[in-house]
Amino acid sequence: MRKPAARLVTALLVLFGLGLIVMGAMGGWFSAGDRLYSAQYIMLGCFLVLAITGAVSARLAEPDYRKVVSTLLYVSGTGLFLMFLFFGLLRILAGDGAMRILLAVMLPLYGLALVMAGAAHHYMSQGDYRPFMYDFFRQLPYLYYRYRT
Amino acid sequence: MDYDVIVIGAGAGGLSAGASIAAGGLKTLVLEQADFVGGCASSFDRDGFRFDTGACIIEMARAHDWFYERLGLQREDYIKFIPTDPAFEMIDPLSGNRYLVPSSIEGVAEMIRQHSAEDAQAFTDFIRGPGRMLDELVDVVFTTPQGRLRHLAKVFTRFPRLITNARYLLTPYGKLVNDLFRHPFTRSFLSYYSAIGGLPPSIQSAVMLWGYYGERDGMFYPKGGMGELTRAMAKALIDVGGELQVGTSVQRLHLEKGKARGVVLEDGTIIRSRAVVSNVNARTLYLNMVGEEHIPGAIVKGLESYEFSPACAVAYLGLDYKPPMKAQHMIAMTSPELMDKFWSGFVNKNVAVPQGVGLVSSSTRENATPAPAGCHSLTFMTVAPRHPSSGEWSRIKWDYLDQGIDMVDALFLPGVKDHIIMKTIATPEDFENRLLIPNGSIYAFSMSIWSQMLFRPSNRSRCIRDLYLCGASTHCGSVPGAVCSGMIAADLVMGDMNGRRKR
Repeated sequence: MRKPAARLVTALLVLFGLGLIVMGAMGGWFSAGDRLYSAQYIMLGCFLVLAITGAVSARLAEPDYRKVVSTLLYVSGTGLFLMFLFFGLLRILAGDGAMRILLAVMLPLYGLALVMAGAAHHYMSQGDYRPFMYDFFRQLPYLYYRYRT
Repeated sequence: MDYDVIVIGAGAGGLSAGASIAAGGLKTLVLEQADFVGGCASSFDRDGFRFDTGACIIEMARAHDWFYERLGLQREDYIKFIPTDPAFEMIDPLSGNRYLVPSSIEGVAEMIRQHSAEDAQAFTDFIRGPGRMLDELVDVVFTTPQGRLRHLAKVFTRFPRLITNARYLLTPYGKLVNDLFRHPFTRSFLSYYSAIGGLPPSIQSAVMLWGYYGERDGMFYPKGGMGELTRAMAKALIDVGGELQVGTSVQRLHLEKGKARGVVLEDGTIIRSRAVVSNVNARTLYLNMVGEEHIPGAIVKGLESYEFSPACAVAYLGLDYKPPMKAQHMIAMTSPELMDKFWSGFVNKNVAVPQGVGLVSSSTRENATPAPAGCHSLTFMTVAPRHPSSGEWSRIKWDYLDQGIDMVDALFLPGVKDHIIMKTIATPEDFENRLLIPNGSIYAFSMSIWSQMLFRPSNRSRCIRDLYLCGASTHCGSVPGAVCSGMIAADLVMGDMNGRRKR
């Protein structure tokens, strides 16, 4: 993947992630009625942007990275889309108090995940770092157990 | 109790631990399954030649000085070190050029300067960049336990400048080399250092380059061969009151209420002790000698997750002439990209074909080891798979040896194969069977940063009380690493025992 395309994807992931964290932290930013509505459609917007950018950038990626970037963006985008559906359901089911808590918890967590995905993408989009990062992700599930030894 | 402490394994780590504990006044017994001491750091005689089994270089010689100092002894009274300067004769297979690599950092910088002044400055800046911190840091890493977050926190607290340099931990070695250095010579020369660490440049961490700093005191070879180094340590063990039994195989640990209370020998004899120090591979220790039923599942999972470092094969040759080497050791240089290709094309696919990534040594060059009159010994160590894709070692080892000789003849020493009067080889399978090194991996587990320090087995067992570990399993490979791990284990044993006595 060329540097500008890689940077764009990184920037989007980090930007959306930070946006969600801020939204979650400022639970009272929107009025009660607007809160769900806004959150829901922001999710949908982010999903669409990521889906389109991801589809384009995955085609530009090197063969050994294509599957990884596709999966990364597919998982991130699907998460956003599921949250869009979830918030839609909540508009029917949840009260205002429950909504505040849900937004304060879910949005920062998912935002953090997006920022981390952006960081991972930043390194993995660089050919020099890729084998090193692949090795890290391969070993990651065992690090806790190795620490225990 | 028969003993205060029993040490399993008389490799460099076990001897270091045993002697240090015995010098502390505890009744100590060191047990070794082989008929000789030293493990990988040993020698054997054949047809009048003496060969080093595996290890053949002493770097960080001060680790050996620390060992003798803590016993109240003088290292020179036990073993003499011969400086090997230049450290290597390096061959460029493409141009056929040969270079002499000095054993000092300044000398290496000067050698690089012959090709690129810019690269020489970058090399000096990187090595000296962290300033005098490295002087202490390398020593601290080698002499203190590193298995806990608090240990790591202590290191960062003591060396705050590490924080600004921590990015190198997560930078691939190959990237650092390509970013810092422009000249192909420098890149190729430094790629070799990644192979010494047992990983390709794309996966090795850039901090490996700091390892160069560990060699600031120069490189040495023990008078009489590597076996003399560990025999001297065994003598020191006896001199400070320890006991040593070779040819005694330990079958398993003797446990009482979850505590290590001695060992069970192969004939069923139980030797009791208040604590046990193990110099055997951590996976062998826990899974075979302790038993999964005594270990939490998380630790079993951790042990099983370790990847082995690459295995090695060593060819031992007796020559009827003095090989035209300008240094005791020879290496071949290659670019980071070719080194990665060697790893992906040969190592990862278990291809048993000798390649130039290895070390050619002649210990008789400085008359350090005996050989028949007018003759010299030559060893060639190369990365080789434990389970070759082309068949078992018993079937292919002699063909492999002949291919290795052809390769040494073509690449390093033209004409050498006409002067061979004896030859033999040790394969990874031999290392596994004779020295009980799982997979024949001389560094034990992978040298990746994900299997180091915090993620390496602890010197003090976390699941069996009064059990301590040392050797390549706990401290990254190399002889000084093993020696230092033994001293760390000894400190922990004596600290725990003295603490209990006070309570």
